[in-house]
Parts: sequence; C-alpha cells; structure tokens
Amino acid sequence: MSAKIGLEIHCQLTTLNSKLFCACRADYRGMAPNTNVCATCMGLPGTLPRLNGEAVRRAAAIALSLGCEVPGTLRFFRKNYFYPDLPKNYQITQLDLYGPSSVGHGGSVAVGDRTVSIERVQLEEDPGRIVYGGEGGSAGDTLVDYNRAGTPLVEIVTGPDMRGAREVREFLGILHDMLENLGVSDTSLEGAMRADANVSIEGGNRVEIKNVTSFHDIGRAVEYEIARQAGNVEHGLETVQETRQWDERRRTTVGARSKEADQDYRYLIEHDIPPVGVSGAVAQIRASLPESIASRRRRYAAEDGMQAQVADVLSSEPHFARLYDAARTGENSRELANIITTDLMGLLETREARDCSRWSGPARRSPRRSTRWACGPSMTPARSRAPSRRSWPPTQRPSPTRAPRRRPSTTSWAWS
Amino acid sequence: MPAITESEVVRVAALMKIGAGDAAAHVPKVQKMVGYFERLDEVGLEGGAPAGEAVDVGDLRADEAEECPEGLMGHLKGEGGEHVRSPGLR
Amino acid sequence: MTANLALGLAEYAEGVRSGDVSAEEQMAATLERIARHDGVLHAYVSLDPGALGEAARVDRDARAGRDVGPLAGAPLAVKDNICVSRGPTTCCSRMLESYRSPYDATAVSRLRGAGAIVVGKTNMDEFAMGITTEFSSFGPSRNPWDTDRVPGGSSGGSAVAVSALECAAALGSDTGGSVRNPASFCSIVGLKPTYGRVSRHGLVSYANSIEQIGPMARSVRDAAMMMDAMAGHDPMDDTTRRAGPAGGHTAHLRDGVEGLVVGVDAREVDRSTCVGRAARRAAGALESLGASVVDVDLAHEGLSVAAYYVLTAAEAGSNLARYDNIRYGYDMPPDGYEHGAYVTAARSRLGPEVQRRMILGGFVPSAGHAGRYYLKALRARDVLASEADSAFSSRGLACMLSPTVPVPPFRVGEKIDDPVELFRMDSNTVLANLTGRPAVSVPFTLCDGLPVGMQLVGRAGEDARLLGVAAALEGAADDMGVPAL
Ligand SMILES: [Zn+2]
Repeated sequence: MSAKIGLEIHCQLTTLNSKLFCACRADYRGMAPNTNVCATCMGLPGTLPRLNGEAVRRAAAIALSLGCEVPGTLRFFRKNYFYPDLPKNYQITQLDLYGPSSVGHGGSVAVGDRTVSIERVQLEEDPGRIVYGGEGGSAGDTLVDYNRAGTPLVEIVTGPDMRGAREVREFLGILHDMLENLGVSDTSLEGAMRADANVSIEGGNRVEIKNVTSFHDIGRAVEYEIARQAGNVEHGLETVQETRQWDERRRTTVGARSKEADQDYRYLIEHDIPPVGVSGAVAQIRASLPESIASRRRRYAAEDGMQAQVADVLSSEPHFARLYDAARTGENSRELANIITTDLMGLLETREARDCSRWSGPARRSPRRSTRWACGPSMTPARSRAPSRRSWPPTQRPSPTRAPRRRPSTTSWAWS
Repeated sequence: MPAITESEVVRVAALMKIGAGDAAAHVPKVQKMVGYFERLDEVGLEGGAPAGEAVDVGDLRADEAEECPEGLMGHLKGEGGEHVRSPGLR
Repeated sequence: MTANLALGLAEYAEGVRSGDVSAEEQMAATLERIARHDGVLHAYVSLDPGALGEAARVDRDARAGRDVGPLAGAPLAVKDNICVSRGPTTCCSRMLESYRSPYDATAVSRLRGAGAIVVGKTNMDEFAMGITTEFSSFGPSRNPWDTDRVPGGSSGGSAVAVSALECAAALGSDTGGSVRNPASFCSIVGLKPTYGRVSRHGLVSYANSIEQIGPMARSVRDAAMMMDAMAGHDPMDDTTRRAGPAGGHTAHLRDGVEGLVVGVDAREVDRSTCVGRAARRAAGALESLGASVVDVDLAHEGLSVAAYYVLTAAEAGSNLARYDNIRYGYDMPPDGYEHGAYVTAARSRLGPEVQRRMILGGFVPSAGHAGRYYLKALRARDVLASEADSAFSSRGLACMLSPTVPVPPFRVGEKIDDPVELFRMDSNTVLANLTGRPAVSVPFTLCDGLPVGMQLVGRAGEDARLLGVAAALEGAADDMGVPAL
C-alpha cells in the first residue's frame, strides 16, 4: 500500500552566538535553569524583539541550499496561543499571508530518483523547555526553564512526496548532511533537530505525528503509522484525521487529545519587526555557500577518478572532505581517500559504536551508509560534534569569544 | 442576527483566557462594536501586504552574545538558577 | 530664592547652570505642591523617593561646573506604562500592581541623561485603554480646571501633573489620541511623534503598530526640547528610523506660517458648537498669520475609527497575552490549578474595559473572521494612508487642523455607555496613528471655562516643522491663564 508522507523539520541554528531576538546565548545547553535569560526573552513588559541579522542570513543559506527561492522582503508574524513555555504567549514565526515572505519557498531535493518538494522554509523562535509536566488534571506542577526560549529555529516543510519510511530516512540523511556541510547546525546536540510527519495512505485522511525528537524514531513512527492506517483499511475502518503523539517508549503513535479552542492561532503581523530587505544579501549568501555535497561527489568521481562508493562517503563528511581537499595533490588522491575513508573514519566508527552501546543498546544500521543514525536519541552520531561548532562560513573558523563551556569534547582528534 | 453570537463571545473569551462569567457581561457591547466594524466591508481585500518601511538585513543586530543580566530573577517569580513553576498541563 | 514652578525647561536649565535656580528647591516645592493637591487631582500613582536627592546632586554638579544637561533638574512625570528601573510600573492594572521593571525605557534614560529627574509615575486608564483615566484600577484623576471633570486619557495623570504644576513636563503614550486628548482637556501641549521617531523600548505595548511615546508640556518649545533629548534611532527598537535628524526639533519654532497651506475638514470646523467655532477661529488665526486654509475631505475617513478599534483590539489581545501571572505578577500559587484555568483565574484581575478588548481582540483576527475584520482593517489603514498622502501632496499641505476632541471635558462618572457614541471622541485623533504621521494638540481657548485644544497633523518625519506651526498657533491662542486650584 503506498503512502504519502510530508515532513516538518525543526532545526536549531546552534552555531550562532546569540538568540534570535536578544543577546542571550544561542547555546543554552548545560546551564543552570533560567540563567540564560534576559528581559526580552522572558517577555517582560516593554521589551521588543531585536532580530539577529546573521540568523536571517543562515536561514537564507539553508533555503538556497534546498533550491528555494528567497523573496526580496521577509516578514514576521505572531502565532498566538497560551502555553507555559512561551514567555509572550505568542511565537514569532513566518507566514506567507501576502504572497511569499518566509525565508524560502518552492525548493526541491532529489531523493534517489524521487523529487521531494520543499514547500516552505521559515525562521522562528524556539520556546522554553518544560522539564517536568504533571499528568492528569490538576496534579503536579509544571517546571519551566526558559534558557532555550528565543533560540533561532528553522522550520522546513516538505510536500507529501515521500512514499515510505525508507525515503523519509533517506531524505533526512540528505538534509542532515546538508546542514552539517553548511555549518549552520550541530545536529548531534539533543533537540537540535525535531520532526513532525504527515502520513496518509491512498485516499485516506491525513494524520500528523508530533513529538518525534530523533531521526531514528521518525522512521519508526512513520512505519508504525503506515501499518496502523493499512490495518484500518483492511478492517474497513476510516482513519480519523488527527494529531498523534509518538510514544518513544512504547514505539507507537497515540491519539493526542485535541486542544479544542486552542487551535485558533489568530495570526497577526509582527509589527515590532519591520519587513526585512534581503535582495542585496541573497546574491552574496549564494556566492559564499560551501560546495554542495552532490557537486563534491561529482568532482571526486570526475576529477580524481574516485570510486562511486568512496566519493559518496567522503563527499558527505564536510570535515573529512575539507581535510582531503587541503591535502590532495595530483598524485596522492587515491591513497589519501583510502586513508581517510578506511582508517580514519573506521577508527571513528569503532569509538562511536563503543560510545553508543554504553547508553542506547545496539547500534542500528541505516540502509544508505553504515555510519548514519547509529545513536539515539540524538539525531546523529557523536562524532560530528567538535568540528562543526561555531563555524560559519564553514571554511573560516572564528576564534570563540569565550572558552567552550560545560560540554567536554568527545573527540580528541579534532584538527581545529 | 448580530455579527457575533453570544456563544461566540464566550468561545473567544475562553481563547483569550477571560472567564465565562466575565464574558457574559460584555455580550451587548461587544455585539454593538462588532456591528460597527461591519463598515470595513467598504474596502476590499485586494492589494498587497501592508505598506511599511523595510530594514536591510545588514542593519539588523549583529550576532554577538552578551552576558545575561544578573538579578533578573529578582523581578520574577522563583529564584535565579531555579525553574519557574507553572500550573500543571492537561 | 523662591521656587517658580511655571518655569519653561530652557529657563529652568539655564537657571540651574547659572545658580539662579536651585533644582533642589524647585523639586521640594514640586513635592510640596503634589502633597497639597494630589489628594484631589490624583495625577500620580507612585513617587520616586530619590527625586529630591537627585535634585541636590544636580545643584552640586552645576556648582562644580559640570555639564548638567539641557533639561537640568527638571521634574519629570512618567506615565505608568513606561518602564523605570526604580519603583513600580503597573499600567494602573491590578494585574501588575506588584511588578517592578528591571530597566528604564529608552525615552526615560535619555531624558535622565539630559538632566531630567523622574518625580513619579502617573495615572492612566488600565493598559492605556480609555479616554478619561476613569478606567485606572487605582481610581480616576481629576481635571485641574474643574475637578468635577475628567482630565481625558489615557495619559490623564501626566496631563494633570503638567497642568497643575506638579512637574515641569511629562511623558505620555499615544495609541489613538492618548497624549493629545488629555492635553486638550487640560490645556497643555501634547505631541504624538511620527511612528518610529521615539523608541518604544520600555513602553508597555498596547497596539504596537501605531503607538508612540510623546512629550506633554506647558509650551511647544518645552515639547520640542524633550523631543531633542529622546528622539532618534535606538538599537533596542528595530522600528526606530535611522534616517533623518534626531535633534533639531526647536529649529522651526520661529518660522511662522507665512505661505504654508493648512487643510481643514469642513465638517469639523463648521460645527455649530463652541468647539467647532473655536476651530474655525483657529483656522482664521493661521490665515491672518499668512497661511492659506483649504478644505480637505478624505473619502474613507469614516472608516478610521473602525479600523483603529479592530487593529488595536487584535494587537492588544496579543500584547497582553503575556500577563498570565506565571513568570511575574501577583502572588497566586499554582497549586491545584490546571494551566488554562489558572491563567483564566489570574486574568480575572483585568478590568472590564480591558477584558472587553481582549474578547474583541480574540474575535477579529480569529479563524473564519480575520478576512472580514483584521485584514480589512489593515487594508483600510493603507487606503487611509494613501488618501492622506495624496491630499497632502496634491494640495501642498503643511498640516491639517481640527479640534483635538469634538467636545470639552466630560464630567467624572458621566459614563458614555454607548460604545459607538464613544467612538466619536476618537474620530479626529486616530488618523495620525493609523498613518504614522506626527500630530500635536495645542491649547487654544476655553468653552464655558473648560479647555479646548486644536490638533495639527503633519507630514511623516517632519515633526520639527509641525512644531513650528504649533508654535505659531500657540502664539495666536487665547490667554487662558492657569487653572485656579
Ligand atoms: Zn534573552
């Protein structure tokens, strides 16, 4: 039975220094609760958003890399709903109310021989984090940490173009590699990438799956949901159009209670942020994009005569590819590619398997490449951590304004 | 029939976290005001986005982190370094 | 030395610099006057206990020859929806009655930087929603010209303080006339600057797309001096304009109106009321000073109040959503509540006028209704702006003249219960907010002993030239004396 699957992927711009609308740190992880907050991101009376220009540029870089068009003028809107993790009780986001004004639209990504359309890319703020939610009626407090509130987030919305869990995984793999190659997001950090999926099977209603916080689980959730809907069809039941939550522990999707009136978001224009002109900047952003993985792969195959499989592996690892490009001469390319892909990356894989087995059971293999999606719950293997931190554009690594804090590097071999 | 019904007023009040008891008292005035707004039908919806002076992305805030203000939590409920308590979610 | 509380800001600062005026004595006399009269007038809702000490410091600095600034020692009253880092900022709402802001609004910090001293925070309609100051949670203010009358609103407390010599000048905020209406009712000068000219950082948002902080003063020159101190780009407010001079607001005060074209709305200036006749007389006065007066009619002006109420309600619904009592607010433990029920219970502290606008603000942009109300109101605003633009350019207008409010001050408690009748009170003031243009109310005459001000609406960005016309009109106004307290 063929399915239609569309994704909404949320990706934090983790390599920025500051939040989207204030000068608190974008890197909120590992801090004591409510210490990475200011009057603005706590929504105190009288504060106004001060848009981070670099966040706009990087969101535009993502949009361009996804083949999107970036409109000349960007606009921001308010999505209104009451929730304890939302300091202003509205989220500043983007919307194409008067024609395209989100940071990107109309892109596409080739996944195997299928084309997945990118309907929209938008820049928005992440809410705070609810660290403990009491369940059932009035029992129990909810505790909120606003350190994350206002962190820059890019939402990528695809068309319903994927046909099964395998394509979903493959698309996410391509997206992950692209974001890493751009250096805009360290997707290995917990919660740096989250995804919702819209799933329907032939003629049936559309079901939205929310709350999936790892790439690994998105595939599982989609698989489960397709099977559930197929079961409905078999038994002559209609699939209800609804939102379902992914239950990580039980590995099923469960119907989420509808939030009745809360679904009316009363979108308003965010007048505190004037329309943002980017037409001048877009050409410059486009010109400074790093070489895409596909182009690198073609180059390795065509110029260096690299085997397809080796070219595939090497091109999608920006740090190794950069190492290779820097060290290659006319003569050493074959040997160099072998050393990197076999010895260096193999060494890493061993480390990683060891790290993973410590806390999340046996590593799983992805269909595309052996090192993908090995660890849960974070989206990517721990290996990609150190090199991509705070490095954009990826070729120049700015010296950090302060020493890295709190999170020890898992990689002693980093050459930065 | 008024442009907004009594049950609609109560529904919208709930959306805005205004109690139903309070909302009921406002029905006649709200109906009268919304009735007055009907004159906006005089203008159509054609035309693009609202006019507004754009700011160039180059003039926006630079991506620089600053130390968070100390003592902010003194203006808030709860203590610095602690979570904010919220009532439970359903 | 005896204190002279009627001093203009320029004389004040010059006196403090030369030692002829003691800022401390002036401040002491101001506080004394507040103590004597504010029990009845209720201009202030809180006083800054540090004000006298700061005034003494200004005197010391002046004696030591240090630069004490162009507003040295001037006692400044600040509307209670503008944040100060010392003392309360409540918006005259019980929802925020124990709230303390951690920072000064940019306008406040710039005025402090110019030497002004904050005396206290002034009364207002709760969250600035009202035109009489009767919707304050802390009780109404009273008009110094007749204490049975309202001072207008929502910046009523600031207008009263300026008018009754309880400060040298004040800050108000103007969303649909909230500076100009009480300025007219209390016979003072009030300016709503061009949108984006004064930073809104620290102004508690009500309808953020149209409101501005504005000066309230006893003369056009004082208002211009305050603008020089506080206007201009602010990195804390992305809507402040980089372009154009920040200062220079006093540059055109002596220019006169020779050769300028002033537009009037015939329907407003020919009303057979005292206010209507006063407006015609004001137009005549400008004519006799060399201006030419032409009739101007905006085809869609009848939509301005509807558009204004729809937009302000929608924006207020969003801007006031943060008052859920979870992160800050008053003491109400969350125990035993579900989130939605808690927020609803906490927000029962909002007054009825605010609640009503929350309901309207939830309705007009809601799914299924936005196209009919919110989006149409945005459209109407653009239509009005382009109509005004073409009227100004085709007729070569310098400004438009009308009465600020169609009537003199109402009685306290004379509640206008019909909301549509109440809409009429805003009919002359909201256009400037919807179109972003600067507008000023200038005291002009008395009708039955009650103040009546005239409004001038100017070209966007040309606040200084508008103040020039206002100064000319000020010179041609009746001599009304001061309120007898
Ligand atoms: Zn912050």
